[in-house]
Amino acid sequence: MKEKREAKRPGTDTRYTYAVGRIKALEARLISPGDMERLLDEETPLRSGESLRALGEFPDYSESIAAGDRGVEEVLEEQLRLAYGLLCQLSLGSNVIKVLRLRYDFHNLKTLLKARLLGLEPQGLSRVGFLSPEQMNRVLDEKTFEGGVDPFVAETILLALGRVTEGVALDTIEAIVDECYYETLARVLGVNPFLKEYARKTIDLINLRTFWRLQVMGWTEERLAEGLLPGGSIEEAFFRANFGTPMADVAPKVRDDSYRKLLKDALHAFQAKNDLSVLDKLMDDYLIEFLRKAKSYCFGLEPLVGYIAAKENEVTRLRTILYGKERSLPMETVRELLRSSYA
Amino acid sequence: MKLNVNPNRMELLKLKKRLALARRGHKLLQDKQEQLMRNFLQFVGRARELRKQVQDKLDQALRKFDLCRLVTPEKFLAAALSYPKGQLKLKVQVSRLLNVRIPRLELEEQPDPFTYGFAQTPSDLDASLKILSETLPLMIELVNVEKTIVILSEEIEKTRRRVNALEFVFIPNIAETIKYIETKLAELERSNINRLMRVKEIMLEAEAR
Repeated sequence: MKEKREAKRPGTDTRYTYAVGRIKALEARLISPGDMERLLDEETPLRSGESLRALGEFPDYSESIAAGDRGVEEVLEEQLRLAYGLLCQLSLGSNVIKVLRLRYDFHNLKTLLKARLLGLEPQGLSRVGFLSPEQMNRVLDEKTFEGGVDPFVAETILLALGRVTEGVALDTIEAIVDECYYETLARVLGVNPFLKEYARKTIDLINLRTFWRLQVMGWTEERLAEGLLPGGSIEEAFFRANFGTPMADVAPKVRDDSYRKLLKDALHAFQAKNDLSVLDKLMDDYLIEFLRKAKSYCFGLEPLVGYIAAKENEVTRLRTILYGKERSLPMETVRELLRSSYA
Repeated sequence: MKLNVNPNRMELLKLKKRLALARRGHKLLQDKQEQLMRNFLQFVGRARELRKQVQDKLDQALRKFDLCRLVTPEKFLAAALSYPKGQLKLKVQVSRLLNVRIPRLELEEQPDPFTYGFAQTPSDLDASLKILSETLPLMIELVNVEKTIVILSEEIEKTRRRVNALEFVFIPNIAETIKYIETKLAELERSNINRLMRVKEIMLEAEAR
């Protein structure tokens, strides 16, 4: 009873003490901002194969490179797969880490459903999730899971599958599966106030971004209803009431100060360059900044969530730098879009 | 070079008719060549303009796509882009320009690429795909114009060869042959007159005797 009560307060769940200790050690292995800066400052553009060499300078990544004949994307994916695998072990079967990893299973689920609907070969399947693409394919055929699959994972995937009814339109599959995923995310993370706040902020920011994207593209309000995710603090009615109003007028109406500031900065960049990439960056930075508080917690799941976000952040930063160098993009563009470091 | 014909009046008449026809044909072909050239230059200008538009649009789309790719795993983008709604349908039509058959592609239906969700895709993907969708009709128009240019250039070349053949080979040959026949006929005429005059002289000498 006491443990349950403690778990409701951030950073107090003592069940994860070993995990937190291990995470603190692992955090020290994350690539430092200085090393990233050094990689970014190398003047020469990277030719094919040189990205791997650059990546191989970091110990964790060099192990993945040495393990097989892989490209940069495969190595980055492998790092995420290893990080999620480790955290699933450390989190003692907590659904919190599972739900974060499920994002990749849901990606495969959406992709396979769309490919089946069109009768095409599936493209872009990920191996980070719990189920391999082959296993997920079998699940779609048989609607049951083979032994060894975590009951929570099986239940959540079946829940999403149940919502994708026969004859569903191609363009609504993603919306349905995403809605199911974020509903589950909000529910599972809702047991812990800090994580609940994280889930709420994630959903709010995605909804604000969706609203803005629809405005920029001049799409209909129907698409807004499909695209908005449940579980955020900004009501659907707010978006509906302001649909068609320029974003510059909508931003000051958002109640949360931090969102208002973020939107103001994004608007500034959008007006200057007419692209929304800065909004994506500001959103990611905002969430990383929020999760950075978890670094100070000595107990609980929060540092684990912080670590996995940090690993995702590290992978994204590496991708930004390496892709930018491979394509010889202007370094100021790469710097502008480079996410803030968690490390 | 004169043609290998019998120098008689019948051939002369035939050749004169052929010469008149060749001159008329030459004039017509020259007019056609000029008109083809005018059209060709117009299409070249249009192609240049379209190519610039397509290039600008592709640059914009790829720039935005690069911004998306900078922060999104390749697999996520591949999955988002691999399943468009609908199919690309093109219709092939053939039109005639100065009696030259020109095929033309027309866009009947364009697939809707926006079948991905908003939650896990980068914002600039929308703009990138929108620009690419707008570029497709321009690219098809460019294909039409460039194909027309190729066909017109072949036709201009063919017409030019015909005009030159008429102007420098066929017409001079016929003219030369006509001249030859006329000379030959005049010669015959003169020798005939001489013969007659000689016969008359002989007859007058005989009468005087």
